[in-house]
Amino acid sequence: MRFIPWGVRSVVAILSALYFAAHAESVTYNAQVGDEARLSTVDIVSVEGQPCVSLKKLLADLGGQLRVNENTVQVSLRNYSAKMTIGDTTVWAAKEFTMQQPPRIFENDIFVAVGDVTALFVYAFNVDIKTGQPDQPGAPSLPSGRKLCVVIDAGHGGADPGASGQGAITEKDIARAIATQVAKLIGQVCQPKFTRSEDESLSTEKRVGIANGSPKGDVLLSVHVGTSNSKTANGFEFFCPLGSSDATAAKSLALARSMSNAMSESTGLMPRGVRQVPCRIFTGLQMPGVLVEVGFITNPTEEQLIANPEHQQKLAQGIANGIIAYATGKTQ
Amino acid sequence: MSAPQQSFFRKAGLAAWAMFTLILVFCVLLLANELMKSGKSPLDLSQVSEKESAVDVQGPTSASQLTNIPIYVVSADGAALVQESRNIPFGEYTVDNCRAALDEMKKPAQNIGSTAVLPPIAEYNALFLMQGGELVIDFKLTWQNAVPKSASGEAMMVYGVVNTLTQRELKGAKNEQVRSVRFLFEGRAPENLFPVHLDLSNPITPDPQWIRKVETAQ
Repeated sequence: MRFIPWGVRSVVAILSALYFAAHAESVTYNAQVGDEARLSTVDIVSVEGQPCVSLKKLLADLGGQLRVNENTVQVSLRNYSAKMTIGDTTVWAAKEFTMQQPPRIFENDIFVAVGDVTALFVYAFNVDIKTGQPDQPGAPSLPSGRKLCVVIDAGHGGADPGASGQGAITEKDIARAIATQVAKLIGQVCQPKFTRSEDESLSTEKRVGIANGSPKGDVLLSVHVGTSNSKTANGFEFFCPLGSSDATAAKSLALARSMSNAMSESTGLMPRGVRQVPCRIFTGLQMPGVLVEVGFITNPTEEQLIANPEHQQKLAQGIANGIIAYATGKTQ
Repeated sequence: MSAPQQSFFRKAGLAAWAMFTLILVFCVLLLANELMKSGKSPLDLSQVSEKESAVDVQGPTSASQLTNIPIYVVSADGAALVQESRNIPFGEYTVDNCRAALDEMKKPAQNIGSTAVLPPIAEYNALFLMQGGELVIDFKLTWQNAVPKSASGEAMMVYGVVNTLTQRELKGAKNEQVRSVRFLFEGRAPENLFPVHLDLSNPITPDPQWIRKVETAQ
């Protein structure tokens, strides 16, 4: 930058500002601050080539404060405070930690990278913060009369039995039984489409290809069971693609939360939560996707439970209720 | 120049050339020995070129002191990662500290009911730190069956390793901090065999959603 004339820099800055004003994207964060749920919608701004959000606006919306003294940024929320330095990735909080990108000054405001927001709030303020609006997830926009096409992927199959516990039942059988039930339950409102309806072995790439192929799915649900070295690990858990600002990731999160709430109601069990991970089934997928692990087959008690057809019916009912709520824009 | 003189200079030249060749062969053997010691194949040119672009490929440092570092283990209920403290021989090179932390992550957890993120038989061929803080770990494919095969089981292993090695506490004085971890298995990007559910074709960055923190009000 040192060798670029000021005039050129000014023109680039003005053009960049005009471009980002015209292409402004925003991200909504919802955070549980103490007993209160708070929301903040902030614009995503490119600062030095990095997608960033205004820390001042984010903190103001969530009830925090920000003070700047020369290069030092002091931030506080609840009873927690942290200190940062412009251009340095270190954050001095109760426990020192490092962000992926340093905080930056832009137009008299302090910006942090979108990818650092979650870590900053968790580490510095012990606040659970997520993207999206969990209470009003965007309903899928479909032409009137067309049903939401739900790709149902029963995990493993054929020569690949998946995980197993102490009994004879394997992951592929549980996944297929629940997938079949879900398809029956959502049939009135949605159009189910299987990646496999028989006991057959399919590669992950083939499953993704089926989902993307005609008729193209609107959402994908992959059914699996959980495993752990801990014999007491239990409960159902949802996994979504990584991403904090794109629409597909946000819709995946909304669908997963809808199913998690509905499954909690249908089974009376506590959900383990919704987490974002880079699963193979999401690679190349051209739609929102969710992978559910319906219970831990490595826990002998839960193995019996998830092998029980009555419990499988409750799990399928919860999944179906969550999908229908998402499809009709009536998520809890 | 007379014929005996010519013969003398020719013999001296050939002797010098032979000596130079011997020294060169000796140096190549030394280099091959060092590569084999650090777990790399001297015949694999791709690894050598990777090494050239990497920084601080070091063996264990001699001058190191025991330092307390946090590592992550899987909580008793298998739902989150929790911290434990371990003493490692702390050196000036981040990559050495990461090696020591990986060794600690294979040992049984100290918290009652918690489990280690890596099985005791987990081994790697090589580990090096690239410019920009990407740590590359080339694991051996001998321990795949010891990791629970599910998205949650594999994620606990992956994020346990990544969240531990990217901590500032492991940064040595002579290197930068690890920012992300790239997983290789037998020198290649992971294939369907292991991990089964997670796509590790890109480097993984730390993710606090897996960490269960103990509430400490100020």
